[in-house]
Amino acid sequence: MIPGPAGTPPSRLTERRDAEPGSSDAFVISLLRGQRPYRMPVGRRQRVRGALARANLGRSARALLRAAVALGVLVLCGGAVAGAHLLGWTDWGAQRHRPLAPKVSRIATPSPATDRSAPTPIASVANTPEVPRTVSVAGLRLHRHARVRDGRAPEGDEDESPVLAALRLLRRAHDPVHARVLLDVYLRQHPDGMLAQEALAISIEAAVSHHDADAASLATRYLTLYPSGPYSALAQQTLRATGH
Amino acid sequence: MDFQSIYDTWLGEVCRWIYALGGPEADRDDIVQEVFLVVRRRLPFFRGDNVAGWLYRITRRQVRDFRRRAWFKHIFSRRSATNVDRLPYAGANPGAEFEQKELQRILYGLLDKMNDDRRVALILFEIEGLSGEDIARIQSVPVATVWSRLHQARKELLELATRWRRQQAEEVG
Repeated sequence: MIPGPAGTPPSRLTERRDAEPGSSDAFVISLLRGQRPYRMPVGRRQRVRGALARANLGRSARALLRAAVALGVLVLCGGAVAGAHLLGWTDWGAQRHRPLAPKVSRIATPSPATDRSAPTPIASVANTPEVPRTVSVAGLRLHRHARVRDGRAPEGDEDESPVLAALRLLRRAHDPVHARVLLDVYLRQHPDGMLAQEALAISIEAAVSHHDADAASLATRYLTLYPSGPYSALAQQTLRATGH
Repeated sequence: MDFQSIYDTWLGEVCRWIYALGGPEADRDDIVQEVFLVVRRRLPFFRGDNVAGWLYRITRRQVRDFRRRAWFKHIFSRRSATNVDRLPYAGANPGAEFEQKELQRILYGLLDKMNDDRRVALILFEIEGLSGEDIARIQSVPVATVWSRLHQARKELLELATRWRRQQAEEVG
């Protein structure tokens, strides 16, 4: 059938006359002969032209909208960052987390110690005083950020995670004993660390919570080291509550 | 070479190729539109050596995408991609038109099972009356390849038609 004699194009099936009637060849030829060349439907040219114009317009509008949304998001983000720096929102946040005159209630009569490793408790668990909450996790981060902004840099090997862990132990697990152990380690290793003030304040809080006898000495130490520190109110109240 | 002149010159040919490639009838306007949107987007990068081949490649890709989408769309309804009731026919009387539709239904049922390149070569050569050189230019292949595809297409169509007739005979008998 294909290709034809040298140099001549092959003939079309529809031009064949030698197919045996009733054969598959004849059937295929009849199928092909029954077809007409394709003719484009009337109006397609105009329909497609119109659709192309609309699609072009739609795409331009969508592109513009996308650009406008992207620009808006960028402006908002940039404005937020600039506002935070210019208006001092971070300082405001840090200020909000500072203790607002924390209140220490009475501390009860000392009772025998239950944990040898822990400092001697000065009150029974049943008679738990109201413990002022001075530091939060977010507050820790804000204070640290504020100190970095003030030009302080952490010591080379300073690891602040014990302070965070101690805060969690105290607040969530209600385990002031282990919290104090972690804080003591941190304060011994980094007496001038980035979170030394907070570590000392949390120690006071843990000591009050556990009715430890050294709560007053911790408070005194805080006031000596940081007379106008953000937790001085806590220290003073602790001293008053313990009769110092 | 500007977009408008390409559109005016080649729209009919693109429609013919879409038909030969078996683009779903209901989507044919959309396929043409997509083809020319791609043409407009890529025209600045076109080298201008073989417009027919370039347009055919775009058309083929668009038809393939639409057929795939149509397959997903009709996965449960099992509707054929080629709706013969909507194929153009200029018959005079209803009886002849009905017979014609039946022949079209059978032929396009068989062609739907064929490979795209062979199917296009067969339709363009046997039905549309294009020469081998024209088809070679459109498909961007040597003329010998067109003859080879045509040979394979005829052989395949004959086999499919034989099988179809056997099935019909079994159903009737």
